[in-house]
Amino acid sequence: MPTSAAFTDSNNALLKDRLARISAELRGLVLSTADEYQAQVYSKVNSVLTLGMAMTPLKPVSGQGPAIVGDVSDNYTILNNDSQDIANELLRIEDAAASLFNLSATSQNQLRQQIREFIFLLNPNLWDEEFLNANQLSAYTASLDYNAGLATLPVLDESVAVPTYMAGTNSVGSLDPSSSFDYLSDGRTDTALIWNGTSLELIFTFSTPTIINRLEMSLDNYDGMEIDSFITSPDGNTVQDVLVDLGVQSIELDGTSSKFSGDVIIDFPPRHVKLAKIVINDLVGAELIAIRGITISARRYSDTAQLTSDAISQPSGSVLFSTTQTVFDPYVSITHQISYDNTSFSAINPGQTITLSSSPFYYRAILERNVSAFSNSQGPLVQSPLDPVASPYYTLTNTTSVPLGTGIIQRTLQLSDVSGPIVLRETPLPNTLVIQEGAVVLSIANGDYTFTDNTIVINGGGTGIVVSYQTSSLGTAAVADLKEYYTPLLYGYKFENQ
Amino acid sequence: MSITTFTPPFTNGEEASASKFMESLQALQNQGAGVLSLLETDFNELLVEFDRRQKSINSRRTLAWRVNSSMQALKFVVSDFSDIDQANTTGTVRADSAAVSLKERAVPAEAVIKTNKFSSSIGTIQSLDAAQSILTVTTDGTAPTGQFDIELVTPLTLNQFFIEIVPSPSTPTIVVQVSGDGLTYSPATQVAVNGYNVTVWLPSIETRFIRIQITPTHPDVLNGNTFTFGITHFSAQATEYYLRSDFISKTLQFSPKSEYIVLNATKDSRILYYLSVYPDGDTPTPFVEVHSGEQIAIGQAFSGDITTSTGAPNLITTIPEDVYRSTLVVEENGARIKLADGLLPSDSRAAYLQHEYVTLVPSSPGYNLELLNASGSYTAPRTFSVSYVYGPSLVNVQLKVRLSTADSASTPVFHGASLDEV
Repeated sequence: MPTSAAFTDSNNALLKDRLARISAELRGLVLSTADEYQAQVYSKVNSVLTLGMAMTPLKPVSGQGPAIVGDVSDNYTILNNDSQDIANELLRIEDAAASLFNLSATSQNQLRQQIREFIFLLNPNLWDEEFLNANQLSAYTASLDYNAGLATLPVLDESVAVPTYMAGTNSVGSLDPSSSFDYLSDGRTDTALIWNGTSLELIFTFSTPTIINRLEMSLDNYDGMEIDSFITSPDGNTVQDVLVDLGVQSIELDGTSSKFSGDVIIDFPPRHVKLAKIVINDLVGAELIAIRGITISARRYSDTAQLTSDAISQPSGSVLFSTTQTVFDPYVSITHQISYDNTSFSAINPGQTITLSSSPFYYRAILERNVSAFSNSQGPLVQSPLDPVASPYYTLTNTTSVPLGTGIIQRTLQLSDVSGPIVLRETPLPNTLVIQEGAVVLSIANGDYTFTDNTIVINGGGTGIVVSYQTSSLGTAAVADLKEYYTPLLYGYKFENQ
Repeated sequence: MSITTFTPPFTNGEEASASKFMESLQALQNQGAGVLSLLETDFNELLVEFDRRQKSINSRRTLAWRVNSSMQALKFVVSDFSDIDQANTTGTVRADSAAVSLKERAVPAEAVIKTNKFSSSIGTIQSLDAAQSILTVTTDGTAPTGQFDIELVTPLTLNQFFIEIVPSPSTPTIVVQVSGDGLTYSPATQVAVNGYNVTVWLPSIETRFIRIQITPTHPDVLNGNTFTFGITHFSAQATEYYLRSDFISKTLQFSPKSEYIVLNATKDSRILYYLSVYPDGDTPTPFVEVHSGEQIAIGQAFSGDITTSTGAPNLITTIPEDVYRSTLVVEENGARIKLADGLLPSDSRAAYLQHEYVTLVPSSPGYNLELLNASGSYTAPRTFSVSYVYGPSLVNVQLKVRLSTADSASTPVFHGASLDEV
């Protein structure tokens, strides 16, 4: 962008102020002829132009003779006027710098987005919606996050939580002397946490258990880093693994993050967190891990949303429908539909090959939160495969929860007609699980039941089973508190010619 | 430079001195001169730095046009001259706005802006500079439509103007209308946008009022709620066009990966496309007219069922040397067998395989398609469904675009094209 007249304008504040000042003086002139007026105007304007960016000459004070008032006041007026002009010029330059900074930033943003849209361009064989913009959607109530390339339930609000950061003992390397962990949360772009080493175990703690469901990371270097572990705990006892919840083994941190926006945005199931640990490894041997900032937040969402595509003309014929999505079953769901008239929709499933009967066609996604999944009676158990309605292997007759203080509750589940596995959604604290059939306490040692991966299998089944245990009140047990923070994550959908 | 502390040169009861007084005033004045010099230097450095960085961004924008999506075999880019046969191209290439039009006969017009008023469909407007050339609109996140109403000093017969806008993420929708009386507006015939460069082609009418409506698709910061608008440069001209012009690309090369490619280009009845496509090393073929969306055969497909024999139970078949490896599919009873491309039976690591794979073993000519597992024992006969595409490994292609018009005041515009894999 060439510098336009607005930026190189020599009519700077100094010049403008001085011209304004002489124009006021000229208006006050009382002369006899037009020639005299013209001469005065030329003289005054020339004096300003000749002065340029210099200071106005002082009026000399003679060393001899009596002092006169003008000796002092005229010189002070000259200096005072120049000072005001300098201040105005300073403001003008600041104004211009702000505009230029803004123009430069918008150019960079535009370029980044242009590249992203080139990479995910459509072609005759592929319809690919990556939510980088809303250009391919005809209507939507879902919240679209163009930076992450993500559709969610409508965001009600977002509250940012600021933890305290430190390095864990398993880190390899050291903090750069010029850096600080405080830089991660100072909100500035010119500071960065710089870790000289191959592995950083970043531990962050909140003063009280805090609900979070999103982590955004601004990188300072993009040299093949990877998050290999991301675990959280509400109380120091129960541990929840974010990567397991997202169904991934690792998360790459580089320029391709968030569909080439370069910003790392991790949305995950909401949870109470007092303590968390992220392990970042440098995979390319640069021995440098640099992060400008981390924003941790909790987003609240509405219950339902939908989005409908524009008319899709290509591809046609037999197409494979696929999605990139994360659904936290049974709390939230995404229903996919297709229509040929944008009125009557029928359900389709990811992975399904569809023979399109006409063109164009329309796609619709319905994002929903399953409110009943958050009821207290359903909370503790995964009642697969009919979850959260009921399990075919038992009947849940009663659930009680008794707070024991210090973040621990006592769960008691009464089950009848047990004929199969009982899957707990929450993890019992060590040595607190007790299972009774009537008044008889069952024993693992005697082979009465097994307990593996939160799954209880009672040999031979039973009736009148009572399962009791202690668990963290902020772990899975607190799922009802997290209801408004749950959303399905739809990162994109594709229709591709087979 | 630093501001020094000023110490009054006088003490109470001391005799007044004109020279001391002047000296103190001179010190103040010198400080002021130093500050002014610093401001001038810093402002110049600011402009130079901005210009330097903007050029850097522009160079990356040029590269950005060459980013291929995963299914694109080749792009014909008109945002720079690298791929253009300039000797034989007779059209006007506007690299800044990535557009090619009929050859222009420009008649310069002194279009001087008298007033430029800005309004927004929603939100509150804040000016970012004293000249009010850059404005920010804050909304609840909904994209506003910013409207610039420009009035020229004198009416002119224009049919082309160029503006530079404050860029917003993604490509904003830009609607331009012109009017001679400020009451009846006629829409622009074409608008081309590349970053902050906008070229507008107008109907050839007397123009005094220009209305530019910009609707961004994103806020300034992704997920923000502010939208910046601004016109930082404006120039206009009256133009006549030749009735016919050609755009011809250089001969470009690509490595095909599919049986067909498809030409993807702007559909306009005033634009005809011709392609010369031939394997590298062959004699160039004449240009043949193709339409946007038309498939062009590059390779040949093979598909068939093959049964192994007891004599060589691991050998499925022999395939041509010029096979496109990414297209090779081997299935047995509907189940796809994994391809271990590059793994040879002689490799000692083959003994550690957990599954049975298909490998390509070089033979003369082409490759033997062989089974490979850890035990080295294979039963026969087994029937496999084999499919692949083969063809030239490197293809030369040249594009010719013929633009024509029956009205010398209007032009079709070519924005570039691509060859997509099928």
